[in-house]
Amino acid sequence: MADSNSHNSSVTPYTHLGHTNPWPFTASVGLMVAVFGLLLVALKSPVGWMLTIIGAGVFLIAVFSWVTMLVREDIGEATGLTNPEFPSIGRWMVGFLILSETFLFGALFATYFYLRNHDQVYTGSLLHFYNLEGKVFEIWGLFPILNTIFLVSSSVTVHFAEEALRHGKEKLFQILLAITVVLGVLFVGGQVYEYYNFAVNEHFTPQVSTFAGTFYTLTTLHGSHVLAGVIVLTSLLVGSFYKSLSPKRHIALSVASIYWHFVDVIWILLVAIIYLRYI
Amino acid sequence: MSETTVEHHGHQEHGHHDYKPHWSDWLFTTDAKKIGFIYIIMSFVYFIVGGALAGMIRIELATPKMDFVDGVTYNGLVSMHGTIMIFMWVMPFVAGIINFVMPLQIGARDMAFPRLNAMGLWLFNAGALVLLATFLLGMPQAGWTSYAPLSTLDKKEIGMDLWILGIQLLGVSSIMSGLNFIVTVVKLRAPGMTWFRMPLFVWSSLVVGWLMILAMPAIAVTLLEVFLERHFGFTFFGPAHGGDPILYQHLFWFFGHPEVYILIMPAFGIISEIIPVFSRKPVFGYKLMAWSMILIAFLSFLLWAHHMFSSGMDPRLSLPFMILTMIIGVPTGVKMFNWMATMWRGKLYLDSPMIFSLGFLITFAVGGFGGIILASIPIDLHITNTYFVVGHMHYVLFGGSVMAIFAAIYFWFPKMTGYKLNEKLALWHFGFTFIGSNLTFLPMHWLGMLGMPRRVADYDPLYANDNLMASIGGAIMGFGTLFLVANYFLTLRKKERCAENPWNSKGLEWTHASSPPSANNFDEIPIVTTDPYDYGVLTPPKAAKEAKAHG
Repeated sequence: MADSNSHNSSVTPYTHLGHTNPWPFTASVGLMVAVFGLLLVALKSPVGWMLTIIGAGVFLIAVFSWVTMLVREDIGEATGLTNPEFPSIGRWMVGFLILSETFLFGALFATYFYLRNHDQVYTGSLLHFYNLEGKVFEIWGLFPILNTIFLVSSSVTVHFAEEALRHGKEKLFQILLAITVVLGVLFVGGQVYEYYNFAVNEHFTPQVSTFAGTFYTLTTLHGSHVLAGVIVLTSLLVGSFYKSLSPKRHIALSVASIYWHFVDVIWILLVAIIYLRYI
Repeated sequence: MSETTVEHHGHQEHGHHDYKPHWSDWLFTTDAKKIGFIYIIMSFVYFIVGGALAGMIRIELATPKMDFVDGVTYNGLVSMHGTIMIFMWVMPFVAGIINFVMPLQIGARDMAFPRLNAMGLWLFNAGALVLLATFLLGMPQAGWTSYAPLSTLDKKEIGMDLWILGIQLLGVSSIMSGLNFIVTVVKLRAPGMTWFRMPLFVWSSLVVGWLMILAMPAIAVTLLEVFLERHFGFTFFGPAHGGDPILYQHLFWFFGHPEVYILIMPAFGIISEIIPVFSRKPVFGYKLMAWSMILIAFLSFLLWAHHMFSSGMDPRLSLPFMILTMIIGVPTGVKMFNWMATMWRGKLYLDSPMIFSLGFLITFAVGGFGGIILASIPIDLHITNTYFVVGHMHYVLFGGSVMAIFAAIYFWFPKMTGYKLNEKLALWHFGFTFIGSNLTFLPMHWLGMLGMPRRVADYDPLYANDNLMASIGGAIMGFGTLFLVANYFLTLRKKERCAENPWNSKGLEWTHASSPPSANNFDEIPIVTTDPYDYGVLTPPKAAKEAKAHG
């Protein structure tokens, strides 16, 4: 079927980096313990939170060690690949990850549309936009507007951070990345405040209606994605002080930036569909 | 061929003596071959567990009365049998065999993301542990589909929660594997390995990767919603508060139907690898085989509601789903005919992998016909949720997926270990499995026609004879599996090294890597210059004369 040819220049020499790594195993064990812990929390067992915290701690330590190791070694040789186009592997990866995430959010949006239609058919009213007292409740307001501004502008800053890195303006890159992280944190903070306001002041809890449940599930799932993005961008920012990124090695940032734009797009869809009911 | 064998022999002997694995090598490995091996071993252990559950079910069903287990245990047995066989046997086995074989077949050193791969492996094991914990803490009652009112109402039942969390972990693991498969196939092919020079098993890995990353998120969301409804008072499915149980079925089957193709697609790839080797002919209609896999995968996302004709969904939806379901029979039929055309006038060698492949063709065809029958709405409305469905599904998943998995075990065992499994024991294994499985699953079709509902422990004495026949078949099948286990241990004890390429295959994994392959797979990355199945392309003079005589 094929011939070996030792004189072919398109094949880069293989660099041996070992075939073991303790962190994936450790992270999996941590995650399993955390999941067991969460289950016990749901079942109101006293040791639940403890197990969750221990498991999450192990998981986070393992992931942190994994990431710092990635940063330390030359990424191009990390997997011992024969293909010189390593950066494009990262881009393909994040592309398919985004596709998968699209189906994740798609399933929740489908839940929303289905239940909305179900409501219209069976109750005649639009949606159960009511709080506990049965008063009509408007979810659009100051905080979603602020959050939209935060997230959209953070998408802009992360783009220019990448541009700055490519052109070797390291200080500007770090400032822009720091702004992006701050905006992401502000978004998550705004979301938490909004939940607090809705649940405690307005008595609009996830339990009051199918709409409320879908709203909280969707926004929390999105918020957790923002949080994951913030953690990734923060670790890149920290790494940049140790020269882990350079004009020639910016693949980690471009992958994170693609992901960040995706999270932004989902937020805009969320605003248009759930908050403003344009669709 | 002989040159290659000699050349690699010294290297592999050297490697064999040198290699003393430490326990942490296995726990912390990022080598796709070791990861694949752990997947395969673990999944086989779970296969035995799932088989034991099936045996208990068949013992209970051997007689009409409920005399072996109680109802709660029976529900648990049925739920866990389905869950284990799907999520802990076929899926991880598939992940394992793809991990082992696919990088070798495309001429890569490893998967694109070896550490992510390791994470996927251990998340699978974590999820499997959570699911196995149900045996101690109480088994789930709602079946492997966990339809909403069943799974959301009894909030104290810890088995259901364990099931949800276990499946979530397995789902994350599958998404990680899927991403890895796709990127590896897309980016890590050896020079010269163009898209249409990829072996069909590689095509099936690519398609399975797509199915995994697109189908798994749906089950993640569905089970998240079930969990929120169970414990935090959210409403999605409970009709009392404005939810709709049919929504659960839509979401579940949007995952569930592609899932079926995750289980069968690698079988297509395995059979497409084996039949050309043992027919000494190129696979018939190579491009059509690749395109039909893509078409099947695409269509599999568009026919989920054929599981729901009697659910009370809008009846106008039924017709398009019925038509699409029947259309998916076309590319599948294309594959059947192409396999047969590959064998046509080939020189058949009836070694164990080929015997199992032939068994696959027969049982999978029966399963496929059952699928077409079930797809038509008027018939489905009568036989849905009867044993006809159980029979059909087992013909496709046991007669299809598992038969192909057995073929793969016999085919690639020499590659993985350097030893060849005993042919005689393999034939016994096949005989018992083939006769046993048909004896078990064929009567289920007419049991369903007569109206026996599925998932019952206690049934009308009218169905007694056929059920007894099915139980005897199950015992035969279970006995047959012992031959595989015995074969495995005997072969490993004998330590008789076989030839480097015992089947005379032309796949890269046989021609360019030693058996078992070295840690880096290849000494030199191969340059691919020919198509994957160039068997007998240079026609020997005698065969040419014969062909002329035949016209």
